[in-house]
Amino acid sequence: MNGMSLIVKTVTRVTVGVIFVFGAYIAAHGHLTLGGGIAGGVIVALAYILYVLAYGRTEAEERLSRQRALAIMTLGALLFLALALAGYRQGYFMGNFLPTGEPGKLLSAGVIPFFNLAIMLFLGAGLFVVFLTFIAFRVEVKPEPGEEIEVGNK
Amino acid sequence: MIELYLLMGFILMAAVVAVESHDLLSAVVSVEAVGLGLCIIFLLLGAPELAITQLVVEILALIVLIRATLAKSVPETYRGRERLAYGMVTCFILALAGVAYFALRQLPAFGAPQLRVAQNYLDLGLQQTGATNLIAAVALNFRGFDSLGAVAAMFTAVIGALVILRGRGRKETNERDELDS
Amino acid sequence: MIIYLACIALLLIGIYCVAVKKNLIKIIIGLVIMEYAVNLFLVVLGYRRCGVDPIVLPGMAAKVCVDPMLQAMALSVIMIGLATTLLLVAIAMRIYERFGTFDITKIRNLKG
Repeated sequence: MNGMSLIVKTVTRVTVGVIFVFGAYIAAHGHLTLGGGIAGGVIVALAYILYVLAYGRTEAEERLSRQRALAIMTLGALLFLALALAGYRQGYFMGNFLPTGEPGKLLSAGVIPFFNLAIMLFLGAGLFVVFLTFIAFRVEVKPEPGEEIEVGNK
Repeated sequence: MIELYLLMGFILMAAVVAVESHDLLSAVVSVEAVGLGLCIIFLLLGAPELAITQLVVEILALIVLIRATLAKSVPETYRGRERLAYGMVTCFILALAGVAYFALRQLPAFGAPQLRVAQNYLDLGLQQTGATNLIAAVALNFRGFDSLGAVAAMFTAVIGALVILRGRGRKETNERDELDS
Repeated sequence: MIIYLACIALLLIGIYCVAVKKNLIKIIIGLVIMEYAVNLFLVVLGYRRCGVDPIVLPGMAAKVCVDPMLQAMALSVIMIGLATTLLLVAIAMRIYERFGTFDITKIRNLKG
């Protein structure tokens, strides 16, 4: 898949880092203000998708290959599960075993920011891999001879 | 709250356009208009975090849906309507609407919810979890299983999409999909 | 009451689209509309008339917020809806590659 023109590539080179940091910011401050892991993860995936659309698929896969993105996605899911199982220190599944801290600071609310981090890794890499798979699926279907698709008004 | 009702009317009209449009691309764009109107309604109803999430998730769904329709933009095919099936579906929908009206009268009035469980979360949320964002505190601490279920469903969908779209279509065999190796 | 009926009307539009239309992409669009209607209904149920967003600012009593539990539920529903849409579109693309059409009445008649 080819990239786009030089103007689009230059603008993308400037903005894709900003979008990535914005997504990570929304995911990191999920326990203080709006956002959370889901919105942050999808925004990080959209940063990578912008890179693919502007530069083409082959060059984007040099930056983050498919195998590595799948590894990051499963790392995020396993981190979520590990944090949930480690809650047994508190006595129950998904217990909050880290100290609560002072509300308003970045490292507060126990285990919630780490859940947000795990969801961000999971969604950011997973949705990028899904997008790559969707655009890599090219197909050419020839309809059978003598068979036409009906198009018409009702 | 007049803007709420105006936006609801806009959403219903956009949904009707999405359902009845002949061209697939216009239908997909109308569905995205429904989603954007829904995002503004979430802002009006005091749910800004849902508005952010709905916006970005809907953009991703738009990308995927357009990818499915754009390369193969075949307008919708008609064959004439089967009258019996169409009539039965309409009767079922009208019956469902009638039953829903009688069921919705039992709900508390709009703007005065009962909040029996949620009042506990509002009172104890800050001191038990230390999180200022009460939605994150509820979704990841008090009701963690919902997030676990959502992550599991998303994982299944990603792996399923990778498996379904693996391999090649009916094109030359010397362009293999890289995931096959 | 009117707003509840409007949510149910959106759900019924989605049900009509899934039941009547013959194009696979239209069926997916109907499912997406139904999912939007369910999210809207969840948020409308939890609205309090003078409520603020459920973010606790310093110095504010957290008692007049809107319902946070329903919004946390709707957050998970949005994510699951995205998962459903991804898988459905993948299946639709495979069906198009195999049968050459999106029309569901023709899928039965053609051989792969």
